[in-house]
Amino acid sequence: MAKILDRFTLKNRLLLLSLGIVSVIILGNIGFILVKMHEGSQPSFLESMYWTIVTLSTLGSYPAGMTFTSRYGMTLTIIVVLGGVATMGIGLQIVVGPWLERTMKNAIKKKRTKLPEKEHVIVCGYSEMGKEVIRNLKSHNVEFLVITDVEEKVKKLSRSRIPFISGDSTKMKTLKEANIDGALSLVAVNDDSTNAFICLTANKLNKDIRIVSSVDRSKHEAILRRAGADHVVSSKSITGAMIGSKAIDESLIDIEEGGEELLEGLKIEQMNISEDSKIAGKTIQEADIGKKTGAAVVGIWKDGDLRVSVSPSDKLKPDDIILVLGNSEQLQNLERYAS
Amino acid sequence: MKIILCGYGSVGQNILKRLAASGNRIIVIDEDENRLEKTSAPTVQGDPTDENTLIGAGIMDAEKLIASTDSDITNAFIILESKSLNSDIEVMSVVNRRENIGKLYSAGADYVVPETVIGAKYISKYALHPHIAEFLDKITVAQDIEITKINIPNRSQLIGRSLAHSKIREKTGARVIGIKRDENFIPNPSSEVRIKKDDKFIVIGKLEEIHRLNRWVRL
Repeated sequence: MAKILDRFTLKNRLLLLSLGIVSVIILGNIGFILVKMHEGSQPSFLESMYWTIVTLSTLGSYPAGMTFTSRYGMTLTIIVVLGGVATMGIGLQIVVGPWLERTMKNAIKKKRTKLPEKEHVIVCGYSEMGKEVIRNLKSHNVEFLVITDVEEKVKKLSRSRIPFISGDSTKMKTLKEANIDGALSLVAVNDDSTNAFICLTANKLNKDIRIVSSVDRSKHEAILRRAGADHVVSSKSITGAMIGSKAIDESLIDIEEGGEELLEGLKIEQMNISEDSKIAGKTIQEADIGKKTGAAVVGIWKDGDLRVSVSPSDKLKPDDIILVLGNSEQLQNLERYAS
Repeated sequence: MKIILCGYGSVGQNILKRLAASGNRIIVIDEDENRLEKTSAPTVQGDPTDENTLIGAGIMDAEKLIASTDSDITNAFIILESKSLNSDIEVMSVVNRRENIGKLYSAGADYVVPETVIGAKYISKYALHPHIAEFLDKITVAQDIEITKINIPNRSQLIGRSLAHSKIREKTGARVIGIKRDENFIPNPSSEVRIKKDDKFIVIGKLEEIHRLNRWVRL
């Protein structure tokens, strides 16, 4: 029965239920009139309807003149009562159950934030580190989504507005669901072996995606790189180096929260040299960025290599990326000057 | 300067790597004998939260102490203990969870470095701006490039000259990216800026370029 009903939509089920109720009512009316005529009286339509509704409602008490005297009458009463109860019983099951289910599904769906489709960052793992990464991504206004299969964390996420997938990020299916094809980069912040497996999976699905992985034990760094991580970050090494520098008063770099500043309001930004840029094809000296804008070129990326000794005769070619240092005003000047 | 390093895990090892060549006296404390075996510095094996261990390491006349165990709770205890033993000591600490940053400061730490916050910053930088991230990595971790401060000595021959005339770029390779003058900061000073007494240069360059510059300003 239930199997056959599976093919019925909720709307059709509702129709089926109404049909059932209407047929029981018609049956009651016709039966009442026939039996009463058999018993020798002339019932009105109002009387027959009254009797049918009272019977179906299983109230069980009729005013004078509405009761039967014959066996047929009793049989009819039994049939109508059973028919009514059965229709309502089955009807509730096939209509109300699925209806409730659908309402609840909709409620959950509505609450879940839409997953980004391209130029987004996929964060695999909702660890302390994962949460911090999300905090950073938010401040950069970049779209992202989180993948975790830890039930407790899924619960927490479903109460937040953070887009997420509940699933295993070492599986292809999950990463596909995360729209890995269009993603800008993927961040793996779990234990080292899980991270390695995520890198392998991600690399298989999207060769161009930038994969960044955290590492607990720095000796695992090479393994993660072999698994396909483009960048491996050991927070312990960085932290150690920073404290060390701070202890001997060497460090000038602000690592305090929030700001992108390096020191004293100076920021580093990257700038891609486009074909139609005013400085494309010029040497550093000819471009004269320092005098024109106040910003300084501190590094050039050429064919994937970073060069930090910039000489005045270096030529800026399209597709090069320059790293420029300056305060906000100087960097804005440069943007206007170069475009 | 005498610096006590409590905790020789991954963070501690990286701290020592940075401190080793600085010419300071470093004493390393850790409970784990095996970890200490690899150390080049003098070591004290024992519980760094124990008063006697700290005294044995010479906390009474140390200038700085760094708490770098893996546990925020242990680090908090080390901070409390060391400040009560030697109120003049400067204490720095690693902290794991963001929510504990404030707690370690209230325990008496002078400087707290949040590991997760820093790690996440780098991870996000790599995810969004890998070119800057790699550059920063060269400055902070790999130390191929350094950004550092150089004080101009009172008798430097460079005082009074313009930056262009000082030939810093040509002679040393390092570059002045800022000048601290009294309370002011001149970002990316132009080549006409004249060098004054008491100027502090913020310079960027490779290690050997910085060394050359250090000698150049002393001429």
